[in-house]
Amino acid sequence: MALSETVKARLEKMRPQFPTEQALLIPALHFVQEEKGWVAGESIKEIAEYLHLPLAKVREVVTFYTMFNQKPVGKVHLQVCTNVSCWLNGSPELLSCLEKRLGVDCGETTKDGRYTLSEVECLAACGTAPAIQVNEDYYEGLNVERLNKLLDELDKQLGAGKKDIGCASREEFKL
Amino acid sequence: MSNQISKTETDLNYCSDKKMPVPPTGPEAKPLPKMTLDGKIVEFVPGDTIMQAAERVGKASQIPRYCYHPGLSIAGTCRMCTVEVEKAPKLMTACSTPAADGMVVHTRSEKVLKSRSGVLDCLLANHPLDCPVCDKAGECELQDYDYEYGPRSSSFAEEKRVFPKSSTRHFSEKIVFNMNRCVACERCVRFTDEITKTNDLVMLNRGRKKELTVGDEQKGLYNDYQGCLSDFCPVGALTWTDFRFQKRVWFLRHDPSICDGCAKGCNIEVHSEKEIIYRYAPIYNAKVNGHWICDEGRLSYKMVMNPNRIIAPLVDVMGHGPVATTWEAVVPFVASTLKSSSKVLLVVGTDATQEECESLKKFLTRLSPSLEIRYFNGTGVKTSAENKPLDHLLRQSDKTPNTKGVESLGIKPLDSGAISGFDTVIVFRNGRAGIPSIASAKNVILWGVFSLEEVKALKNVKALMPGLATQEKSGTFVNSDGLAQSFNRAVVHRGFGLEVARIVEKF
Amino acid sequence: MNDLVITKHIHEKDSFKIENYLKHDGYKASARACTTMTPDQVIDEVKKSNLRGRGGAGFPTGMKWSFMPKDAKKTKYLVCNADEGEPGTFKDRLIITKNPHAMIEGMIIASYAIGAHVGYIYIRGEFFREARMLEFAIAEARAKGHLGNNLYGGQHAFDIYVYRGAGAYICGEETALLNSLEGKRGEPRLKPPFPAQVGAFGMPSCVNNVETFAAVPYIINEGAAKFASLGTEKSGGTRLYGVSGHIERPGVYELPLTISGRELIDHCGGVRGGKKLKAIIPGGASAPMLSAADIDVKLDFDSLMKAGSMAGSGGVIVIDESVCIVEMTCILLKFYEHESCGQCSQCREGSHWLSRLFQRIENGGGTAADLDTIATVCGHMAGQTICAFADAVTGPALSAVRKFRSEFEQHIHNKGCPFKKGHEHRHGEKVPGVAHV
Repeated sequence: MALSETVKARLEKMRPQFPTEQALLIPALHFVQEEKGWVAGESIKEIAEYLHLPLAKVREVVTFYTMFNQKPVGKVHLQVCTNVSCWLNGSPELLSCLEKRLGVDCGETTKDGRYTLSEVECLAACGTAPAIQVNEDYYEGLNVERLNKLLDELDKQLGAGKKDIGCASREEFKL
Repeated sequence: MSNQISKTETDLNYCSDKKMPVPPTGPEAKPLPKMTLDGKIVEFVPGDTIMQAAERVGKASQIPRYCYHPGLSIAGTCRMCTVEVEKAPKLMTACSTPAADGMVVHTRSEKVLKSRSGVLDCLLANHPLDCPVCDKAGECELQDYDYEYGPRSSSFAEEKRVFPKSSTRHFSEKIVFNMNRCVACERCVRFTDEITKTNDLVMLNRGRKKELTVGDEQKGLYNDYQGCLSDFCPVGALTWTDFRFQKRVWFLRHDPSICDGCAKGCNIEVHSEKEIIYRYAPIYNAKVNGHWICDEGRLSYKMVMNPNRIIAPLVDVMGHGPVATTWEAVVPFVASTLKSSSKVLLVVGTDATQEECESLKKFLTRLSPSLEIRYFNGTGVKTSAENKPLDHLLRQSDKTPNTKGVESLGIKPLDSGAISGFDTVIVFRNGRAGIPSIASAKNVILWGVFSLEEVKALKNVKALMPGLATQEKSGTFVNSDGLAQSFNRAVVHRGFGLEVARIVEKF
Repeated sequence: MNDLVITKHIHEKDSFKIENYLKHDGYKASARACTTMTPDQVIDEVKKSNLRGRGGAGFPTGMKWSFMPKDAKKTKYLVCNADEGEPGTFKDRLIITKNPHAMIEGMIIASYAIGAHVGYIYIRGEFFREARMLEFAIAEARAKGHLGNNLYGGQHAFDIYVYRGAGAYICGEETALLNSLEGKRGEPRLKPPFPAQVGAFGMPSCVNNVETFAAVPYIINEGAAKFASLGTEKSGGTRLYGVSGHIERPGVYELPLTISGRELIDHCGGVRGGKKLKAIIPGGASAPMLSAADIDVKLDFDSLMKAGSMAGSGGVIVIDESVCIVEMTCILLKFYEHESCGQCSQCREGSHWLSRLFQRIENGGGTAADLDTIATVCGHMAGQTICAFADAVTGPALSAVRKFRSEFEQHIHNKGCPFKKGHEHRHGEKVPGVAHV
């Protein structure tokens, strides 16, 4: 069962906000990805059934938006902005530092399933460039030294089996 | 109400009447709004787009387009149909811009021609140079528009983008797909969304990475109108497997006809060379089939071209089974058989034309005054009342074209499939109607279109007089909606078959 | 000290909380509008203020609101565009994290003016924390009676829902945003019909930027004339300039629209490390770049338009002499290639074409004919597509060649990049997430 009761409950809570059922599609994909880290084919099918949409309409949405992971990602998704302001402030160095440290090319996941490294577009943190996004959290004003410190911290959290790495705002703004 | 299908009618405005309101009439009616199209004043109906206004006066061919199709929703994405509208700051897409009273539109100004050239330059940048191996060559809208509007050369010096997994991909047995050729007009996606409602095609990703694929990988491409995809794909991205590499289109002659694959009577265009049919295409008819035909109908030409079709007279004089012979031999044989029969039954297939029914009735009654006539459908439907639509579009359960027509001539249906009490039965059919079981008759005379397998499966066949298939003759059918449609010959029969009138003359 | 419309109190502790907002005349404007003004009066006031959209297009806000149908029975939607994806732009993030109630109050006033009872904030998907902060602020506003039914004892009802995007820059375009809100691909729509006729879910809708809404309470509180006086003749108010790149003190700065490029750079401490200025991109990546010679241009909508650029989103990117313009344009064009929705033939193919072409020049494979091809392809794209994305692509592409042609010629002549090492990386100390005024 790809759609958990939690996801369904969240969707039902949102339902009265929209006049159509299709509007729940993008939130549904977000909720599933929040739980599972990615959107699998099975989830796509179940979402299509749940929202009474043809499968094609769900697939075309999943593949249109960059944030929906169509493959599993590591426990820590390192998303490095390589757009212009971060580029002017040293993002290529950060990217190559990570590639070397993790032993993967950009776009790949480490063999132990811990880290996925991606290039992303502007994160709107240009004033504190260069910035990266780690799962949900932003880390800004980085340089190679700080980046390594951050990775050390993440390694520690992974080693300790910490849940919800990189999701600090979930606790910060619990409604 | 006859709907004469003639060649000139197919050149008419290619417009879909779902978007064409009827012009108001009567004393209270306001005059129709007018716009100027390339210097000529043109009337249109309120609600028309510039493209539709142009269609009404037969000028639609002056406005090139990819994503626009009169049978589909408006997309406005290909940007080919942009025209210059006076007082508007930018070029406007004719397909989506509402026509306004007093509008002045130029479809061939310098600005417009430059824009069209630009669109083509962009589309050709990544388009593979496949013309020599592409089925679409000769009827390709990219070729045609490029020839008329395109840049004389390309300045694209990068590597063309390639989709290795979709360069020759069989979406189904019927459709071969090549994503490299795709111009992303998305007519096909809209078709499977709006017309067949199967959503079995989808465009994934965005930008240059856009890729067409099947909606559900497990179901594949499965709708019953896949041939239409190949009709309206402007390039050779979606092609019809049955026609793949068969014939270059410029050798094909086009003749209008009616599909006899079911009771719908879709209007078709027969594409042939040297009287060999290579494929069918739909002809627009607002009252019958709109812009489409189903795949079963599209492939129904195979019966006409079946190498096992009997195209010479057969006669069984020795009692060892029917053998090929000449008209000079079979005619007297049939005449004497009928003369010596006490009870003769004529079973007319519901694929016979109105004219054939009348002729047969007149002729055979003369030869056999006690003749009884019944009609037989044999495709799972006994009478026209039993016909059911098989989907929300065109397909019907009655797989014969003229059940209603035959009924309207006062002929009664054969009560059951089995016949008894007649010593001679004549079965007349044109290859679509079933053949009733006639084990009990002493003499069976077959008349019309039959295959070798069908003849072999019958007993007591004493003679066969080969006839012409629907596309080989003229006639009239009445379709499942009661609409009478007349048609003319599309191809010349390539055997010894003759039409009913010619055969009657020989007696 | 300049008048501050939006960022006056953002340095106070917990400035995002409603208690602090209320301390500084928060929600007085919405109460005033809903109880003492008619919707038309509100629209008039905003018109007189000369407030122009702060998302990038700069369309007069009052006029946009006046396009909405007056039929009270029709369902109408108010939409806040918080998709902030234009490279170099980060001001909306500041407003959401430091002063979200200004935006919410602006939305309440707007909803009253246009007769909408449901508002959506479309926020980019990467803003996880910011989306939660918005939900938090909305809950605070609801609890204190500023959202819900019978607002301020009157007939007006209004509530706001947060809708998260999923990583598509094109969803910042208002009609693409509406499609995305409906759960579809974020593909821009043909106009006409305009959102005021057919918007979200087929209903008349009005889409405005975060900063645009955030400026509205000030207009109601202080008056349109005051707001107008802070700016130029045709554009009223201040603007949140997001300054980034090779600048000593990057950040968001609220300044009057009369400021010039030179003044802004000076205000932010000058080019980092005292280096020589080479270029600025004055309005986010889509704005044509200006060379150091153009630095005195005033950064308002009309002056920048006259100078061949645009004010756009107010994201000012500062570039020093160490940067290879060709390489930088490659970075920008790669972004556009990635983000094109792919509907229009010229944009889909052209953005890819230009990106590859510039890369080839950067890598030393360029020819003189390529410079003509750039102009040709840009000519195919500009002004002939469904939305302005194609025009945005031509912004950096054409301006780079126009302003720095000799660099391109050098690449072609040398068959390689004369800069080799394009940039330096930054070791400065900066506390993340804090803006400077």
